[in-house]
Amino acid sequence: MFRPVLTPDIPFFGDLAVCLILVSAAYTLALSLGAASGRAHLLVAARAGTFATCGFVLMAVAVLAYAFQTHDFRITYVARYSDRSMPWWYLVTSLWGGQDGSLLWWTFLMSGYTAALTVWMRGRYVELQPYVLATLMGIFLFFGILLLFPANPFATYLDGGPADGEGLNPLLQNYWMAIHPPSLYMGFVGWSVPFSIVFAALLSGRLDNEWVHMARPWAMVTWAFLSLGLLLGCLWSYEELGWGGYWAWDPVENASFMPWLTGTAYLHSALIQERRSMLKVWNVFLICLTFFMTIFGTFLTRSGLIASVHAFAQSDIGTYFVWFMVFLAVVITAAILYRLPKLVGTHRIESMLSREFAFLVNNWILLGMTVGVLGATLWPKISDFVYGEEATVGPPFFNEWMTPLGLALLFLAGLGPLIAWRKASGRSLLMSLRAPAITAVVAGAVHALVGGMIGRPAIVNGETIYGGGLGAIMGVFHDAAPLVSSVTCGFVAASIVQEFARGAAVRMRKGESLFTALFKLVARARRRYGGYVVHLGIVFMFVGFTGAAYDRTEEAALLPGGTMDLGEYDLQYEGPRREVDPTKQMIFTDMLLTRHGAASGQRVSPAKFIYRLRPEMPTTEVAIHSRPSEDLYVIMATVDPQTRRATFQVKVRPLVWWIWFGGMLVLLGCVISLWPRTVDLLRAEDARAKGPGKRALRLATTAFVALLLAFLASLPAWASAQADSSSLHAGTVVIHDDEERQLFHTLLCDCGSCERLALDTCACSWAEDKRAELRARMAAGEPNETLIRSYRAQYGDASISIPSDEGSRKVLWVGPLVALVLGGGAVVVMGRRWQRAYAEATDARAAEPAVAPTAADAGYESALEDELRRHEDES
Amino acid sequence: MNDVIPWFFLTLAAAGLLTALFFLWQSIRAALGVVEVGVGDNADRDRARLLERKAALVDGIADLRFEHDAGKITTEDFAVVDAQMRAEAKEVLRALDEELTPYRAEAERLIEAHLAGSSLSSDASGLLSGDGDAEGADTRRASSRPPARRASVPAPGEADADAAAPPRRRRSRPSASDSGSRDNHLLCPQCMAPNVPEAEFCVECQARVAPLPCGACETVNDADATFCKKCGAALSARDGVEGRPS
Repeated sequence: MFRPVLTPDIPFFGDLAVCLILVSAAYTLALSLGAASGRAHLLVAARAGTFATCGFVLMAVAVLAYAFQTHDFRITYVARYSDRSMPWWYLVTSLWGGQDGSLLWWTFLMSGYTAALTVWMRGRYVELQPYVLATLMGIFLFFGILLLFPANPFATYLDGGPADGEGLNPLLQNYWMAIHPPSLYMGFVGWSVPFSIVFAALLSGRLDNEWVHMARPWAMVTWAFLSLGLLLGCLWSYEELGWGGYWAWDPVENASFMPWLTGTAYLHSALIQERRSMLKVWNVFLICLTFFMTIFGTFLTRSGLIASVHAFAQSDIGTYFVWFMVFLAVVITAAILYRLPKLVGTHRIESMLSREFAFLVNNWILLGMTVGVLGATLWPKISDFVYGEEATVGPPFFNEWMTPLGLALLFLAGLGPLIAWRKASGRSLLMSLRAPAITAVVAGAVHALVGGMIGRPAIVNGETIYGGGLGAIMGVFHDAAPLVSSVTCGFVAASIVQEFARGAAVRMRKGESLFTALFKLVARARRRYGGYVVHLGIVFMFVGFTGAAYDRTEEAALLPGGTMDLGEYDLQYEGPRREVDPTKQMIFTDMLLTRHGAASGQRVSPAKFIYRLRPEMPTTEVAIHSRPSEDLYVIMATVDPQTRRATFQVKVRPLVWWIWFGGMLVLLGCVISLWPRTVDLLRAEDARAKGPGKRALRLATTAFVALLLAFLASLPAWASAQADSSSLHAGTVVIHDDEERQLFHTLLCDCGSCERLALDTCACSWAEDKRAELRARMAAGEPNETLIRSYRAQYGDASISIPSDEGSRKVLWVGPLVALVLGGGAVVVMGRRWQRAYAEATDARAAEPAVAPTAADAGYESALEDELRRHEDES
Repeated sequence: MNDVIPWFFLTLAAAGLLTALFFLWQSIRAALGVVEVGVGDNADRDRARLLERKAALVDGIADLRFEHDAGKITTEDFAVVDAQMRAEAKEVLRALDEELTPYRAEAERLIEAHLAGSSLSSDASGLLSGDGDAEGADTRRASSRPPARRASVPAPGEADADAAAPPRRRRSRPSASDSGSRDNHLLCPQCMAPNVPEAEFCVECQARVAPLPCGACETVNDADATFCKKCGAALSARDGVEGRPS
């Protein structure tokens, strides 16, 4: 048994480390500001100070981890999130299991980024460095203050603490906890690096493309982590019962989705600045907005401002975040306004039929989506403020509005690559469009003809949440959504394949084999072709999303030997089985699976786990039988130990498998895009130098980064290889027909203890009584609309998952829609103006007298050719 | 296992603390000016921007050609846009060249002054005084560094003044003053390795070291010159000896 050493002082050491972080960050901030005024020795000092700050953060995290491992329950945080029975790996994950620890973890990840950035910056970007370090230290100071005052993970009990801890929430005791939050945090925290770079550019006034080049790899790494985090979040919630599948538009999910949207917009518009030195203000704004959104997201998650199933404790750190956000908003706005004269470039585009313009449209849609998601996420608070009544904005609202926008964005992902930079002629565009358009038509036709036969019709009976004209229009769209989706997916997939084919064909004309041509094509323009792979991944994800239109659900209460069927599946209940391990009791219910009448010999075993320390919180373990065509998803809601009678909910979820497949492709695309060239990693001298030592260094660096990226990309594969997961939300409700399901899905339980659960999943007695009452009224012939209206009148706006659409409340969707339309108008007006500016500049140049080519001119021509040849050789 | 884990974290905490203290010590020493500072040098601003612009244009032209080859852009449009981009690129190349003129004069003057006091061979002086591309010019700018001057970071306001200031050291290559001590060797313009005076190619990196005669006016130019320093004609290896050693 390990005998703790230094135990008396562990909380003290923790506090000391946090104080040292603050002191060191403040010291480094002062040095960086000094270095900014041109003193080189201060920059060296500031760089060392940065490493020192990171060292103190490492110390704080390691002290907390040590406290967890030695069960130092004097520390409140340790006592609240661990107990003596937990194995060491859950004691490690407890580090980020609660609020205080997760803020420390956030700081720790940021120190990792900061240290890596500081090493990477050695010898380059010397003018920007002081400001970059100063900005990062400012962020460290904010988190240091949080850690020292409102969210101190080393705070102790006054009376010496309990004998055993409360234990980690059973929900969090699974492998997801080990990878999902850290990955998402990496995606959140990382945006501080591009932000500090852009802010440094603003402060120093060096606003040419230097900062774009500098921020590029960091923005891409962060984006990849954020995507991975979101994907793992989807997997997590998919295997959690009651979270409505893989995405529930929960405020916390939205909080991580918004920076993803703005970050994606930035990655696209940064390309325009690199190429054309345009859109400087816009790019600066996008990075600042993305960083702001990560802080705002943390605030949303951590302050308890908006009720969420993630249900983090309400706390007073919200106030600190509000002040920090106000500070950020003021400082960012002031800096941008101050530098505006330097940010305004010469905005000219040859043609609105160009890649540049397609990127603008892409930005417009992404920003429109961000505004929509932000408005709807905040709507409960806005409604409370304006109407004095909280409202709920549930998944149906988001699905209604986001589906068309998502499909439009997907279409652009196919169209954009076909349009040439600068200027595409109608004729060549038509040529490029031919194959994708034919594929799209074929995909649509095949879907329409064959889909119906295999239970995947192209036109479904989609629901709409609105009445009247708007409802009719959206209803038609949602009916046809599967068809639109398959046409769009066909179009985009074909255009991407065509891009690869055309590129390879060009190289093959030079005599390369197909394989070599493809390999060199990708190696030469990793970012572009990696981007195409990401797009292809998103196509597959959309295929998976479309499958949701064909979900089927069946509920049944069975005695051993009883069977239930759902389409081609027959499930025979064999009986309950009990297993025990030191931390919990597990009750499995085995079911024999038969498909198409032929017994496969496979069993599915949904279960309930009852943890020793939290018996009141049994977790539901879903059994998933996954195939590319569809998933069989079995939930056991209740089992009676006496009668052995169990209730089950069985869902068939078509095509979900493709979401995970697409997600892996997205990550693969990120890996290709980020696949390092040694020049990006090492200083120029080291990257070019010859000799075995340097070559080994180059090779080692490349291999290390490549392995790291490959490991990250493979994370979801490991995750889905595991078969169990847990959920707190008990509840299978036997539902008789679709109309009933639709009604219960809209109404939320108002018992007070299970807020936001819909009546079709909530298993509490209040919900059961309510269902009985509503069923009686349905039987009496009352339509759903009347029932919803009376429910709203009785329990208020917050009890309906679709927000009220009466009077001024229409602003919830009218607002984003107007913003979208105005934004679209602005994009077109801007495009035309830039096009005109270009035409005028061209005319002016044509009016100038032609200069006869000189000998020097010929010299430059051949120098240019040399440059082009070198460019070709390097790639 | 359970015994090892706490020790691991304890060691990690200690390592964090020691690292932090070490760097803090370094930082304080640097801040007080106790240690010699070796930050990378300040790149001159206009030049960095021009080089970046050049890289973007070269990338753009190559990409345009690729898109044309892939059939995405018609030949007429390609010709127009390509001509525009080439004109822009040449403009940038010219600006880059002009930007170096004052440095060249400065370098020539310094070398003349240096040679007056030493007995360097004409081979070496020819190597160090001619025209050349940006890469070579960087090396030559190294020669004009006043030895006692310390690298410094300019404030934004100072940056413009810096552009006009006398050039400073850019790379950590041996400076021209080193060459005096290496007898009559021919220094490689790429890797600065000494070669025997009659060498055609560098023994270290195989770059050309022998001077390059101009095809048009027969003026002898640096081994790595791109244009003739007298008549401005483009130079290539053909003007010297064909090919490289195998």
